[in-house]
Amino acid sequence: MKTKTRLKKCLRVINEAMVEYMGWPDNQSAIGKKFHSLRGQERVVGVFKNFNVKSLHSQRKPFVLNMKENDWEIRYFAAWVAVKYLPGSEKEILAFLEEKWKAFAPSRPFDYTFLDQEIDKLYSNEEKVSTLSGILTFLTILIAVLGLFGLVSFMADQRTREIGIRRTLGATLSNIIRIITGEFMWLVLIANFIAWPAAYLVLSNWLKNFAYHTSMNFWVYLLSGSIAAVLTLIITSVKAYNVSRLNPGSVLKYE
Amino acid sequence: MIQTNKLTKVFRTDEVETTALNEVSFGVDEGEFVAVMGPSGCGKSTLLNLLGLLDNPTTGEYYFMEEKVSNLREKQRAKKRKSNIGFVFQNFNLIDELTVFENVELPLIYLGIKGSERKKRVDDVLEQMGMLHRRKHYPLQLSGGQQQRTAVARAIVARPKLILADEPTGNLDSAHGEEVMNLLDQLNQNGTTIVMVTHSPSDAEYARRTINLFDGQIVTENIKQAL
Ligand SMILES: Nc1ncnc2c1ncn2[C@@H]1O[C@H](COP(=O)(O)OP(=O)(O)OP(=O)(O)O)[C@@H](O)[C@H]1O
Ligand SMILES: [Mg+2]
Repeated sequence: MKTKTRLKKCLRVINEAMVEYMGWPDNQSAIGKKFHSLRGQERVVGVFKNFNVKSLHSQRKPFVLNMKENDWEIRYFAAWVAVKYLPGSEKEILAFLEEKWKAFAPSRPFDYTFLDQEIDKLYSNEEKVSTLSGILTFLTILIAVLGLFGLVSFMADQRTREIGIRRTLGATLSNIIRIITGEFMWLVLIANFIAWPAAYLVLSNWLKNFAYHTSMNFWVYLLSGSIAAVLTLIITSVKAYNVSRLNPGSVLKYE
Repeated sequence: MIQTNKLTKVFRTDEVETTALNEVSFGVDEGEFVAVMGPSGCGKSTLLNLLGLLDNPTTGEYYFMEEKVSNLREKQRAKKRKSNIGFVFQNFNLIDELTVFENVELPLIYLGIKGSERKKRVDDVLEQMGMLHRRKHYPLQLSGGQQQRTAVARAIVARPKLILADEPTGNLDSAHGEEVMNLLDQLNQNGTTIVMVTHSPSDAEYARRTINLFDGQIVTENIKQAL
């Protein structure tokens, strides 16, 4: 932070975004510059680095800090006082602050909030979305697994005769598993190629709500694809194993 | 080649117990052609499935090529089966989604034989069965006789020592039936052992020995006199 110590009327400290907004070439040259506001002439006495004034949903905007120098101004305008304290000493600090507040501003009620909780509140929506989407994801996977199991069972039953023939000819359990699994792996692959662009669109749209956000990692897609593949593998193997345990003799008998 | 000792198979389903085979003891020598006859439900197919290692007996012993095989696990049975035994069924049991060539190729795939060698052997055996010109066809595009010839081609492509045939002519008219019987006879002349279930006395004529089953037991054995 760069400030000039000599205070005058209507002195202002601005952020770097404001320097840019006013079209001043750099921070140094901004100092001493004047600009107009509703209150009249203002003079820049310092420039500070940008910080997020609001939540991360919004961009860092030009920002002007009012410097108060007269007692009456401070009494009139100051509603909040920010206090930084060592963690663990809340109780004593609050008692101390209340006492001081009542001494300096007896006509105003003493109220307080904690900044970290205030900041958490800014993202409570995202918290909710996160739990909700976790639950929904679990349900979706459950339904998909049940559906897949039904589909695999149906297909394996339809191919009981074919499987019996192949086993008669010497196919082993792993041969059979490979046949059934292979077919479904293709489906999983195709499904992933449909799902990836869709997920990308939805996600990038959602991330647009945040002025500052993480980038999407490709491995997230690979991971979800792999999970789908592993689940399919387990389901098809279980089913293929069940079908293969029947003796080929009894399978071929009844048709 | 085959020796059974008191081979018994009991099926249990929903409190119903069926003794499909009851202490059957008999033998088949290498190079023999044996027919198995008997009324429906007397256990012929059950016997053939046990001989073909498609199923394990409930009790009794089975020796195949001088080795006790009656209690092998399915994996070991599959191994013995694919290199030694060929099957021909009444209903052909071809896979409808595969071509004639692909059907006949299957046993060789499971034996782990290379692609080029497979192609040569499949073409050879299709030629032998007079089916080479139909190699790209699907089973449903073929007549019953052609399907059964394809099935015979599949049964012999791996050059098994034993062929088990369950009513191979059951679904064929007499002309096609005779064609298939001649094929089996030829294979037997060339040294392949054959055990065949049949209802047809004329098919049984091809065999040198006929075993008559009744209610899961052997009742009579006829040995054809040498001409
Ligand atoms: N997998 C099975 N489960 C239950 N019972 C069976 C099974 N297979 C065969 N059986 C019974 O065992 C008996 C013998 O059947 P099998 O199929 O061996 O007769 P078959 O002599 O081949 O008759 P067919 O001439 O009609 O083919 C029958 O009573 C049949 O119902
Ligand atoms: Mg039968």
